[in-house]
Amino acid sequence: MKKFMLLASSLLCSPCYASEEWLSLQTNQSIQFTASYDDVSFNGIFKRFTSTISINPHQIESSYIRSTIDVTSIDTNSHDRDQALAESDWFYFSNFPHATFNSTSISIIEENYYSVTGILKIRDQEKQITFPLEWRVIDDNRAHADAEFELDRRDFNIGIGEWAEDETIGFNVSVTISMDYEAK
Amino acid sequence: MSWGNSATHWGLISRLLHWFMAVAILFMFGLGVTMINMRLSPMKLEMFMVHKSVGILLLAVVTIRIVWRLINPAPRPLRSFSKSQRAIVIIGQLLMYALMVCIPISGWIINSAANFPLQWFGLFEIPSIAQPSLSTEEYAKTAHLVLVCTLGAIVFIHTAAALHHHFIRKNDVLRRMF
Repeated sequence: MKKFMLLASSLLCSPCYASEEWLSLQTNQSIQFTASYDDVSFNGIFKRFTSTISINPHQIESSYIRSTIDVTSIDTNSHDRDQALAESDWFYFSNFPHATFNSTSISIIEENYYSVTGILKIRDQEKQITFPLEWRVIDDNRAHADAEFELDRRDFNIGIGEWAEDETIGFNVSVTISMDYEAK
Repeated sequence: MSWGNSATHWGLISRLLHWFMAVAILFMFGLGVTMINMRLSPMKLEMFMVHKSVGILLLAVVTIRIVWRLINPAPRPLRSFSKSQRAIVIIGQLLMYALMVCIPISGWIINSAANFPLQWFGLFEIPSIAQPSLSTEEYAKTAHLVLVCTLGAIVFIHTAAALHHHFIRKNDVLRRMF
């Protein structure tokens, strides 16, 4: 009877807080950002990325997020601008085609809301960032993540040399993530 | 000196509009040739901003000029001009007005299709007139270049003709504009 009760309780809890991995869906998804040119905002996206999340509120210390972004998939809806961003003063595609984010700690703020700290690496620069994450498991196969945070492009050597000032291209970049995941 | 045109002379308003546009067009031509041959840099983008802002200003000024021309008839052609010469003058002027309208509009389309901002001298944003599109941008760039080269050729002929009338034929054509 005791064994049966343990089994039943674990079965009841497992769909909600299973510690399985979730993999980002690739269809119709993007990482969005907003930057500024001549003090006018423009939006851009990264079209290709892979993100794996494992969050279990009952074992939060073992939860993690691992993401790799193909920076060459950047699209700012401007051919000229996208070409410029590929150059060595900006993302330097030929040497640094990928950016990565790996969490180092995740803590619970409240139900479905977490504080994520991790290392973001773009080009050859690593920086620890912390941002709030809304993580909702919708059903056994689907989950959704929402996050927003600000970056300073100087922290990652994005826009160096003559572009190191913000007269033309602003320093602040707002990143918005709204991403669907499927169970791995 | 009157503000409006008389039967024999261009008025002050017409002369100001003419010479302002003459100087601005020469400046824009020089700036355009210089900046397109520069490598990408903040300085190049600053020059683009000035070029785009002056272009919009010229579009506004040529609109005023056309309205002024319509409500304020031009001086009579010189009596020494033949019918064909008068026709050439009218066609040349119409063509220049058309180019002075179309050139800034084609530039505006380039900027809009490239999805770049248009901050008028850094003061306020001017809206786009075309959706972002590489093909539209390329068509507009070709049109801008062809129109500018055409205007350059007509301005050269226009200037040469004015100097010819002044120094060779020694008539009042150039003096009317001073």
